Amino acid sequence: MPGTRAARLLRSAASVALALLAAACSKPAPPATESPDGPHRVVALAPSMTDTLVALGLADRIVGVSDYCPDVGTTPPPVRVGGLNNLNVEAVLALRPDLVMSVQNPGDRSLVAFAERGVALYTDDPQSLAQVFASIEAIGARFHRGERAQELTRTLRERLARVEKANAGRPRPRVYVEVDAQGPWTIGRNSFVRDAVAAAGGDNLFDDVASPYPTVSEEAVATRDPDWILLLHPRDVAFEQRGAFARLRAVREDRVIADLDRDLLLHSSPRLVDGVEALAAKLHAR
Amino acid sequence: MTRVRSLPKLLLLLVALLAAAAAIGLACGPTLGWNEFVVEIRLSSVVLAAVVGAGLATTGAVLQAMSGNPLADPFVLGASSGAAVGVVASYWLGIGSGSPLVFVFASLGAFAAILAVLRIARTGRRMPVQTLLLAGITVSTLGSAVILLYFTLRPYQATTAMLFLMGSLQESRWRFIAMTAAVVVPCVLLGQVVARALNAFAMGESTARHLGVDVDRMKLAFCLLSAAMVGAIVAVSGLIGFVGLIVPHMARRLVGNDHRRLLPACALGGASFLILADAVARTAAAPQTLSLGAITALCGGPYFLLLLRRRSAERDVVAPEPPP
Repeated sequence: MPGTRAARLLRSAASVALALLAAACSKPAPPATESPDGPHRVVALAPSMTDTLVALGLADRIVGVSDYCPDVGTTPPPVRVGGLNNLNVEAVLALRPDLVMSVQNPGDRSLVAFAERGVALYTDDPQSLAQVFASIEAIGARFHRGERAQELTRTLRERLARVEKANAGRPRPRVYVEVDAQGPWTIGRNSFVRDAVAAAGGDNLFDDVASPYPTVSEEAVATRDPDWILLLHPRDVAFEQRGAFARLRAVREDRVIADLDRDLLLHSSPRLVDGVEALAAKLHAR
Repeated sequence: MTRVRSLPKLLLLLVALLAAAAAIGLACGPTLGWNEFVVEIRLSSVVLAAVVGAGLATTGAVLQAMSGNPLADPFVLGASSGAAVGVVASYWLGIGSGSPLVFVFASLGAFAAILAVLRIARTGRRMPVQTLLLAGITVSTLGSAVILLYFTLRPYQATTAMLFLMGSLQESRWRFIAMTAAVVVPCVLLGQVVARALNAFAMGESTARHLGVDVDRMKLAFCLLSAAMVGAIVAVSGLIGFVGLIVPHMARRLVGNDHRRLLPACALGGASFLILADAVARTAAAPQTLSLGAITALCGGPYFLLLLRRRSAERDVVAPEPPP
């Protein structure tokens, strides 16, 4: 009878599924236990986290990184485990990490998946320069390297102070930062990129916008007539074709910066200070 | 509502409307005073809005007549989604955003999507509303899937593509605006040439056949016309929905069903509507800009639902089947 056959098939399929489920549940994946000197098998899911670990001399602790992360110079190199919207949770778990670090919200689905399996999480997402330093120190503390981290932030603060001293008395140029030509997409008051521009001796053109990364009208850019244009995307043919926009004073006077490593300014890591120094050098070269 | 019967009077009225919209569009912006850039930047937005609005509304009217379905529009029929896939495919192949090839890809995508939807939606000799809508939604969803795949596989380009697809008329490259106009304006005028055929189609395909219209060739012409316009529009302005739906409906209430009057009304009305919507997008949260696609969808979505509801009330094919 076809009915019985179907029922039997269904029953066996169900039992196979149950068996699989049981196998999955009974195979315990105990998280690697953390040693006294902090996590040893770290998966860093943000370039800023990877940068910070490297700066703290912890590169050898990294077993996995995101697709966006820089090379850390260890052999074998850490495993690439995907990006923001295509994170390979399985690959991360297979690395048996004792810490997963991310700038995403801890309630994010993939992070919850780690937490549920007993993997420790470290998340924070700095939105200002002060928070970037706080993050570096917190990560240091997490790895029992609080002193080293404080030494690092002290050095970074000294470097910023040197830039500030060099800029003292100089006029502060108004800088239009373009993250992407599409939009155009710029930065507002509440982003660490804005703080970096300020630290380099410039004033962000859209400090009146609260949103950290707003899209604005070209007309507003043109009317505000920035002293400098900082492009965090390639200056291509499309830029030159942009009608009125391409005739702005900053463009006519060749005050367009397009050769700055965008990662230096767009990642909330110790390298942000490198970005500040590089930008300051450009803004005050003449 | 009194209908305007004479074509010259109608055109005069609509040109006045367009002029008023353009004046508002030029007057609105984040800047209070004037400077050397304000006029040029606003003018580029207004001109592009006029071209895109006219094209979308005309396409909507053509698709509605062709499918005999008042709920059709480039968005609903998946054409916009197909064009977006074309644009994304051209990015994928490394074709720069300033290349005419982007237009070709977008038009091919739109054409494929329209053909697919019409094929799927046909049941026998009829094309019921619900199958047409379902086919449109399915093809749109397929398009979205391809775009999502692109976002995942090309994460560095994802934000650019996403911002683009959100729909914007902030295009200050006159070369690009001219390219769009060079496709859309002739197509809008061509619409006038096929207006009689559209009238025949509006009465149903078999009626059109009896009236001596070469139905299959005409349909192909309509599809090509629509795909070319939608492709050129999406390639320059991303996804701006519902213009092709609301404008033809409003125009129909104003001038009736004769496409010789309806098409010019759609073109001029669509241009005016989009200029005004864009003025809102540019001004409401200045200096920030709002997504134009979101604004037109907020206007058009409720209108679309209202139409759908009214049609169900009229016991059209949308009515649910009685239980067995």
